[in-house]
Amino acid sequence: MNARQASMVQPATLEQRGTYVPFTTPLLSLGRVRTDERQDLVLVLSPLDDGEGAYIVPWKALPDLGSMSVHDRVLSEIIDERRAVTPPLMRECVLETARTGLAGPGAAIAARKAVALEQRAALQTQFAMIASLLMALEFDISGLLALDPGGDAWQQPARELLSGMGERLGMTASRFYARSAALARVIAPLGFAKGMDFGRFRRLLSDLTSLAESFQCWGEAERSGIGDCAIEAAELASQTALLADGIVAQFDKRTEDPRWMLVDWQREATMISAISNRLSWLLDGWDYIVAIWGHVLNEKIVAQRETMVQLMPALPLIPMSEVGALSEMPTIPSLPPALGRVRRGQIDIDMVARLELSKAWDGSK
Amino acid sequence: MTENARVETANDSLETLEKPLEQISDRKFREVIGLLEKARELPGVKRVLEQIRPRLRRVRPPRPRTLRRLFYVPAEDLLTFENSLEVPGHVSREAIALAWSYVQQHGDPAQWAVLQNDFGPTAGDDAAELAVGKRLWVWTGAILAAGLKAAGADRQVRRDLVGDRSELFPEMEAIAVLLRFGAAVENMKSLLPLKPIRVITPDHLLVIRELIQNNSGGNPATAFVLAMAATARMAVPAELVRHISQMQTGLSRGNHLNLTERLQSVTLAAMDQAAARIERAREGDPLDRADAVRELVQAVAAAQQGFKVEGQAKRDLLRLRASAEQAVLEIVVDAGQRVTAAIEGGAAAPLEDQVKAENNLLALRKCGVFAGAVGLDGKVNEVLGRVTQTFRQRSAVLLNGLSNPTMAPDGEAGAVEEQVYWVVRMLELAGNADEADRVRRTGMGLVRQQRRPR
Repeated sequence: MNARQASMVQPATLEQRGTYVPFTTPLLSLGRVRTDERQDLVLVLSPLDDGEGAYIVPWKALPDLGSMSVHDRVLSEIIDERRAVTPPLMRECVLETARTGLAGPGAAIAARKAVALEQRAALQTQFAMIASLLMALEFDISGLLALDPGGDAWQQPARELLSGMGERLGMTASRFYARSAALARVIAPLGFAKGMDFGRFRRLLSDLTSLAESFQCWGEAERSGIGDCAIEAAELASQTALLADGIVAQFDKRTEDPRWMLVDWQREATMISAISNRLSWLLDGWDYIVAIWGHVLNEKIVAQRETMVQLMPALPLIPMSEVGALSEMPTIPSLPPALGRVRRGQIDIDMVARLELSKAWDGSK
Repeated sequence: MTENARVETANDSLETLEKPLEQISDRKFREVIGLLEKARELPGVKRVLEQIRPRLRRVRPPRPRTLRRLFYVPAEDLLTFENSLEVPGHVSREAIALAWSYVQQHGDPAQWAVLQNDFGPTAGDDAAELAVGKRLWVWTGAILAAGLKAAGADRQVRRDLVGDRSELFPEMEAIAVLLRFGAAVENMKSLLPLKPIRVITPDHLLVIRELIQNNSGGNPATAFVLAMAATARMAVPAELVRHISQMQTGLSRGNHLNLTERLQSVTLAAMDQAAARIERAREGDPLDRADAVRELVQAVAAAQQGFKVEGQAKRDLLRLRASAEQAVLEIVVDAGQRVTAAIEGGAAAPLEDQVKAENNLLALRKCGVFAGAVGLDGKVNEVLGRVTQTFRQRSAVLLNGLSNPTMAPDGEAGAVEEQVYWVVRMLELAGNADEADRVRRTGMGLVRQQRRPR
């Protein structure tokens, strides 16, 4: 058993773990939002130093903790307005805030790019679904392929194809199109298993596996006590990736046959959405850890150690409700007491810059 | 092309290589590293490898544990890629490589086999590895010390030790000391926080005093090497040297003075190099530059506070103080000008220019933290105040335009919003978060009013 007793720190469910809030004020960084028993929003902060448990701060009291960055004031207002306690809602709030440029111009550009990519991903997913149906229903599309997509000459035969497909599935062309668009929106965050462009969760899952490898290598090369913590963090990342793989497999099975999805589309959209949501909860927070670690790897070893110490108490633990698929108890990384994180009231320019850079991360490297 | 010109061209190309190396994929990065490692002896290559070491650590699997790596451990904080004459008190990689090959050749092969055999199963067990290390260091330290003793009278031993590089003898002697007291050095490391140690506490000083007092045996040369092993763990070595000068080191008064003088001289030389590096990197990232200047300023302040220097050393210290002041002034003036110049472009400027403006502003703020140590906090505040005033004027124009529909700023609503957020961001980066937020609230309130259908 790890030094930190599981019962003291391990959340019971994903919802109880809360949703990661990417604040840029170091004092609030790596906190999680959830509701309390009165359904009021609270921020859950990991313990200081080697302390156990967590700090629960009422949302309205956040400004009293110290000077918040303007970015965080805006983000906290939007979260409060929309009661954004789920990862998808949080993502909307985060991108909207980042687009203002209050976390730097890089973050603003990355947010705009992310929104554009998501819109494109939904369209691509819809096209992929239609293409797969065309093949499954054995339509001849050789004539259509010879035309300029979207051009005048292309539109008429394309409409006819849609009508033909709708007819075969027992619905009108417009209903067929609307259903495929609605389904594409819920599928797009993962995308199809055989899709050309993986959805963002699949990319994140691949990044998480690389992160586990990176933590492991770094930990083995690091001779201080932080090295051992990094190895534990690698284990936690691997366990999370393993659980996520299981959810992705369920998703892929569910989205295997687009015909079935379109016929019973409401039920299927609900099921697919539930699987996708569960994955978003499980992976929540890891994207920022991937980004922060990705940036700091190009910095000096001292910055890497400081970052590892900062990240350690805030790693997304696997809740008890999710451990079923694991063959052993999930890892709970902890720092030796002497290396505990120190929260400072003063503004740490370097730390703020590092947190802001994580928002500008596009993972392209 | 002359040899010098060829070397300069190679150095120039390598400098331009560092940035792209940060951007290429891991796979390509590994390939380039493979090529660079083959060309390790070429001028500038070691520096490039040092520069990209952090990424190298991630991309390349950890190097296999070997007795050789274990042998290097007590000296690791003092190792340098540079020529050791340029970094006094340190140990060049060339010297330690020679020391390794000497002890390999002159150590009893049977004893090597025993150590190798005991080392193998220690993988993943730090305590067991340390136990083998302690035996290795004491044994090889004695071999090296015996060689160094014999070298005075025996030319062949001299050649075996350093080849034709007689200037490496002082480093070989330092390595012998570090090996002999390897266990004590490692014990010190385990009792101190991770390097760089930013705040030196009485507990830290106690650990360092014990290292020097219990192991130097009254020998100032040994005490110097052990003190260097401790100063290498400090963020501001001058700060520790100041404490050591007042410490009971167990040396005679004369030897203690000698130790202090040597440490001060080495520290001043390192500060001199830091000042030269800052001077050379004028066009670099302003934040990195501010960090480098902070280290110099802190070192100068610590040295001025605690070094008892006379003559040339005193003049050197005064010169360094002047260099530190000059470096702070340059950043402050330069950053102030660049930020002011960026105001014109505002939110519409290209990304790169916006990032530069932000970094210059942050560099200015960073200087505000340490400029007081060289009496320049007033100058920093003056420049920050001036740029803040310009942002205030800019925000006043924007808010005025928004509150008066007939004077509404040009452009689409989205562009106006961008301008408001930009000025809010700059006001915040200049250190006025609350004021920035007030501008944001007022500005966004007005933007919303503007958008309402009339």
